[in-house]
Amino acid sequence: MPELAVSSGSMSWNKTGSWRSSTPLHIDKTPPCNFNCPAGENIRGYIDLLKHYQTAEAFELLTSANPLPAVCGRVCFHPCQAHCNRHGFDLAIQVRLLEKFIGDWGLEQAPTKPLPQTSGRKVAVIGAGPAGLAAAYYLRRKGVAVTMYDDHALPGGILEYGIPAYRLEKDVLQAELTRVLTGIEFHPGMKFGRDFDIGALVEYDAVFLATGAHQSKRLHIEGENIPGVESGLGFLQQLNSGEKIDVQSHNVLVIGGGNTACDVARSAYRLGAHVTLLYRRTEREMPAFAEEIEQLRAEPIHCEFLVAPERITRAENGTLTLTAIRMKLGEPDESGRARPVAIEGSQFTLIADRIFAAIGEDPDVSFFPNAQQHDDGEFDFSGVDARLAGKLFVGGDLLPNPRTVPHAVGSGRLAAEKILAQLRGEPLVAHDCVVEVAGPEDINYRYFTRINAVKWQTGLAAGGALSEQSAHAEAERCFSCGVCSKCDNCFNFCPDLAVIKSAGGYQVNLEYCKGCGICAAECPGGSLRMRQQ
Amino acid sequence: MRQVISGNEAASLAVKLARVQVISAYPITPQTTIAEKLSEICGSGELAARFVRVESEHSAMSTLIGAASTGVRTFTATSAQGLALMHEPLFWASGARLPIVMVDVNRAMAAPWTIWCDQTDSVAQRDTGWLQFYCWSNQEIIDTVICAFKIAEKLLVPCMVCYDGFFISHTYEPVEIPEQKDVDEFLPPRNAEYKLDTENPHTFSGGTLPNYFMEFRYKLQRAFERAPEVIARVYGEYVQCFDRTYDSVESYAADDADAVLVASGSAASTVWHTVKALRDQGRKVGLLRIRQLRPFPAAELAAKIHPPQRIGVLDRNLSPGTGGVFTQEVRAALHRDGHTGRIHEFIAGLGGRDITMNNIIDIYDRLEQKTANASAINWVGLNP
Amino acid sequence: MNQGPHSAAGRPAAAVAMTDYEFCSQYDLYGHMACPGCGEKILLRHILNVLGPETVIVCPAGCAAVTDGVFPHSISPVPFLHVPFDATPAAAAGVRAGLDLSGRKHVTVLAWAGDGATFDIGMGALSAIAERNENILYVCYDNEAYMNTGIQRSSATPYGGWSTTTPKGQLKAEPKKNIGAIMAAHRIPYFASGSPAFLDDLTAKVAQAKRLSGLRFLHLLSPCPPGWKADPRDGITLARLAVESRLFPLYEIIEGTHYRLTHESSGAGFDEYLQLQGRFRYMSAGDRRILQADADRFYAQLTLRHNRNGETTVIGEEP
Repeated sequence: MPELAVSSGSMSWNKTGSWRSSTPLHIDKTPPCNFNCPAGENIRGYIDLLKHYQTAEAFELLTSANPLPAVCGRVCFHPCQAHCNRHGFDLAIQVRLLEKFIGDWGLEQAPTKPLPQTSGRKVAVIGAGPAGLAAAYYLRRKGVAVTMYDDHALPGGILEYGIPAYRLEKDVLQAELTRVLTGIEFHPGMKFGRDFDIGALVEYDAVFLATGAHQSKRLHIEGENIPGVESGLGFLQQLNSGEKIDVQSHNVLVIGGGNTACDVARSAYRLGAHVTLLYRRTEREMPAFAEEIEQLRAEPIHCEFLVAPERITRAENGTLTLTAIRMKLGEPDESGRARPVAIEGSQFTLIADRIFAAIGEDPDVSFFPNAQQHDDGEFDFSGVDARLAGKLFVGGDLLPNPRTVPHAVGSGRLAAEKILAQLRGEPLVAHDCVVEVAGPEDINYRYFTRINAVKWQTGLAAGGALSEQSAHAEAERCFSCGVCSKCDNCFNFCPDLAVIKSAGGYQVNLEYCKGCGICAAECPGGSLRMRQQ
Repeated sequence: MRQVISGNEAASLAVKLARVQVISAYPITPQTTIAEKLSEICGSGELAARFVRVESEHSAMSTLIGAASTGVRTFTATSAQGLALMHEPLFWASGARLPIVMVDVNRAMAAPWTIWCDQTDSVAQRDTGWLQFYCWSNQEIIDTVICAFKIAEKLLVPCMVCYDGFFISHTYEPVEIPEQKDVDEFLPPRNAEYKLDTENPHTFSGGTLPNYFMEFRYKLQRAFERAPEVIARVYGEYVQCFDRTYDSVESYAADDADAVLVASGSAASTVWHTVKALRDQGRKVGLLRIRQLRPFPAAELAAKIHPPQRIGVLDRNLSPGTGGVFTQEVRAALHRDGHTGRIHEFIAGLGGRDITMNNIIDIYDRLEQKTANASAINWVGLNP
Repeated sequence: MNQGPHSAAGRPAAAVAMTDYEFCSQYDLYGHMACPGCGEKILLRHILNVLGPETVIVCPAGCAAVTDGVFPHSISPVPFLHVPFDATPAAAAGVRAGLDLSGRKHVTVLAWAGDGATFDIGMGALSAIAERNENILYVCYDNEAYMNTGIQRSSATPYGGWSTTTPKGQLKAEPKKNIGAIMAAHRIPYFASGSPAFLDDLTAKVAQAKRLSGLRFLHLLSPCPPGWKADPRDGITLARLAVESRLFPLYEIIEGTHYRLTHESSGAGFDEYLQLQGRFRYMSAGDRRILQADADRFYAQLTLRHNRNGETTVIGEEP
C-alpha cells in the first residue's frame, strides 16, 4: 500500500454490466422501401452507397435486382416513396429521381462488363417486355444462352409500344435495351403460335413465357364495334410505332381509369384533341398510379367521374354519340373499392369523333388452347404439352400480379433464379420469410430536421435530373429505416464505452453495458432496440 | 554573511535559498512583507519561481496543492484569518502527503478586529496534520524554514513555521545568512516519488472507502512518530553545514531549577532574559522552550523535567473552555510519562499585549511561593 | 452559420473521427461508477479524445470525482488530481505553475468541475484564474444541481426547477446564472457552450480551446437522468432538446467580446423538454412561459451579438 492515496489500477474489474435490466440488440428490420418494391430492389442499400458518392457501386446493386433502372426511374410508380417513413414527415425520399440518376449514370458511364462464356445451357424467352428482358438478362449473366422471341419488330414490349414517349424517351429505352440485350439472341417478328410453335422449343432446357396482356377488355355495350370506337392500347401502340394519327381538334372520349386510359387521354391531348375521360367511380378509386392521375389532372383534360357508358351510335357524318348513365358509390366490391351503382333515369349523351376504350387488358394465351385459368387469374400451363413438362416458366402479365413494369421485372428475375436453380438441380432458396418492416414508430424523428418539401423538391428537380451532388444530398435524407447506417451514434453516445466498433458494425460489450438505452434511443433508423432481461 | 534583517525578510531569504519553484500567497498583516519580498525576488529573477497571486488564502493553499502534486517545491505564508481560511485545504495537503512549507506569522483571531500577535491562529490548526515549528529569533526562522523543506519532503508531511507577528516578523536582528551553494548541498531539489506525470499517469486522492482510509491516517500518524528522529537527523546535517542547531525542547537553566516555565515564541525570549536576571539574583528558575507543537516533543520535554520542580506553562493562545493549548499538551505529555506534579497554566499576551519581564517575575514568584492556582487559569496582566 | 451536426438535409450527426477512438481504447475507461445514461462520462470521453494523453485533470468533489473510481483504482487514462470542492481553479493554476516549472508547458491542464463547484463554491477562485488568464482549460459539466449529494439546488438550476432544496411549493424562483456573461466579463480568450448531443460542435470547440492558450472555458450541459427525473435513455434527446428549445444555445465568445452562435436553435421542443423531466413537473403554465420567454430573450440577444460581429474567428481556423 502506497504512503498516499495514489491509484494505479483500472476500474475494469467493476463489471457494470451487472447493473443492467435491459440489453441493446442490433436487429435489422426491413426498410419499407425495400419491402414494397415489386422488383425487389435493395433501395436503402443503393441510397446508402449514394451517400458515399459510390454511384458505380449503387448501379451494381440496383441492377442486381432490376436491369432497367433508367426505364424504371421514369415509369415505375414507386410504391417505395408512398411507404417511405419520411413521407408525412416532410417529403418522401425521391427514389424515382435517384433511380433515374443511377440508371442514367449507367447508360453513360457504366463500364461494359464481359459476359461469362455460355455453359451450353439454353433457355428460350418468349416476349421481350420487362419480364422477358429481366429473365434473359439474369440468365445470360449466369452463363445461360438465351434466345428471345417477340412478335413485334422491336424489343421492349409495353415499354416500346405502350408507354408514350413523353413518359419514356425512346433513346433512353433503346440505350437501356441495348445493354440488357447484349449477348442475347433476339428474334423479332416471331409470334408464338403463329411463327413458331412448341416444336421449336424442345431443344431448350427451359422456356420462359411472358407474352404480356395486349387484348383490350370489351365494353360489353351496344356499338362498341362500330368504326371510331377503338382500343386505347391499340392507339398507344400505333402512336409508339410512329404511325400518324390525326385527332387534331377532335372530340375524343376515353373510357377507363387505369394507366392506359390516362396515357391515352394525355397522348390524345398532345395530338391536339379535346379530351374527356369517363370513369365510373371517383378519382379516388382510379386504379392508375397516383402520379399519373396527378399529371392527368394537371392537364386541360376534362374528367367525368361516376359515369358509365351504355350505348354508342354513329351518325351519317361519322359523329359518335355516347349515351352514358350517372353512377353513385355503393357497398365495397371484392376489390375493396366502392361498387358503382347506376342512378335510374340519369342518362345523358356525349358527342365525339373518336372513342377509346381503356378499361383494361387481358393476356392472349390462344397459343395454348388447353391452358387453364384459376379463379385468381393465374394460368395453369402444366398440362399444355408433355414436351414442355417441367420446363415452362411464366412471368409478367401472365401472373395474377398488378400489371406494372416493376412487377414484371421482379417476376422475370425470380423466374431466372428458378430456372437457374432447376438447371443446377437445386431447390430454389426461399426468399419469402416473415419480415419485420421498419415503420414510423422505429424512427427517431427528433433526429432529423424537417425540410421545406416544396423548396427542396424544386431545388432537386432543377435541371430535370439530379446532379451527383443533389443525388448525394437526397440520399443523405434517407433515415436508413431499420438498418444500421453505421452512423456511430450508439458508439459515440455510450457513457460506458460499451459499444465497440467491429468490421461489420457494432457490438455491445455486455460486461460493462449498464443498459441505459441511449444507444437505442439515439439510433436514428431503429435498428437497435432494448430487450428486457 | 551577516545582515540585519526582519523576521519576514529572514523567511523570504530562506525561501529563495531553498529554491522554491511555486509560491502562492495573499496579503495579510503581519505576513504581508513576505509576499512583497518574495514578489520582488521573483520579479528580479533572483529566484526562478512562479508567484501565483491568488485572491484568497484558500486559493493560495489550493494552488500549492496543485503545484506540489506536480513534484515541485512550494511555499506560502499567512496569518490569522488567512490561516483559518486555509483550514480546509490544510487537511487536504497533509492527507495528500504534500510537503508544502508555510510560514504563519502569528496573529490573534478576530473578532474583535485585531492585527496583533498571539498564537491562537496556528494552535487552532494543530489537528490538520501539519508539522508546526515555533521560532524565537530571525536566525532561527531562516534556519528552520530551510530545514522545514528537508523535513517535510522526507516525511511527506507539510510543515508550518510559526513566529510572532510584529514582535519577530517586524523586528530587525543580525542574521547569519547561509551561502546558496551550502544550502544547495544541504537541500537538493525535491524528488517526488509520485507526481502528476503524463508519462506515468496516476489518480491522486481518489475516493477511498473505509477499507483503506484508516490505514492512510495510520501512515500519517506513523510519519509524525518518525518525525522526531528525522527532524533530529536534519538538524544534525544542518549543524554540519552551518554550525547552528536547535532542539525540539531547549533548556535554559532548567536542570537545577526549582521553578521551570515552559514557553514558546517571542515570549520565551522574554522569559530567557528574566531567567538570566533572576539567576543573577540567585533564584533557581529555568526555562524550557518548546519549538514544536506538532509533533509535540513529549518525550524530550519529560526528559528535561526533574520533579519536584514546580512547572508553569506560558500560553499566548486560548482555547476557550479549556485554556492554553501548550498547557494541555504539556499536561498530557507529562502525565503519559508518569509525572504527577501540578502543571500551572498562565495565559498572557493575547491580542498583542506585551508580556513583560515583570509579568514573568510575577509568574516565577507565584510558582516559588506556591500561590499560583494549580486548578485554574492564571491570567497574567489582566486588567481588573 | 455552421449547421452543427445536422446537414441541411437533416442527416444525423456525422461520426467523430475514428482516430479519436484510439486514445480511449488504448486505455481502460471501463467500470466507472456513473449512473446509467450519465452525460458527464459521454462528455469526458470525447473531450479526452481530443485533448489526448498529454493532459492532466484537476477535479473537485462531485459526480466526476465519485464515479472515477475508488482507491486504488481509477478510470482516468491521464493524471487525475482530486481537490477540495472549492479549490479547482486555484489547484489547476498550481498544477499549471508546477508543470511549467518542470518543463511541461505543452501539457493541457483540464479543470473538470460540475456546476456546484463552478457556479457556486468555486466562483471566487474561478473569477481569479480568469482575471489572471491562467493557461487552463476549465470545463464545467453542468447537470444543473448538486446531483452527487442528492439533487440540491445550485445557481445553475433553471427557473422553476424542482430539487430537494427547492421542493414543490418553493421551486427555484431565480433564473440560471449566466456563466457565459460572467466569463466574457473577464475577457478570457475563449468561452463556448457545448452539448453531448452535438458532438461535432463540441469536439471542434475542444480542439479550438486546445489550440489557444490562456483561460479557456467550456460550459457543457450534462444530462443527469436521476437528477432530472428522466428516463436514462433520453439523456441525449434532452441535451438536443435543450439546445433546440434555446434553453441551452450553442455559442462561443472570443476575447469576451465576439459572440458567435454555432448552431441555429429552431426554438422547437420546449414543451417536450420539460415534459420528459420530472424536475419540471410542478411548474405552472405561467412559470413555463416565463422560462421560455427568458430563453427566447437570451437567444435573441445572442443572435443580435452574433450578427453584429460580422466576420469573426471561425472554429477550425488558426486564431
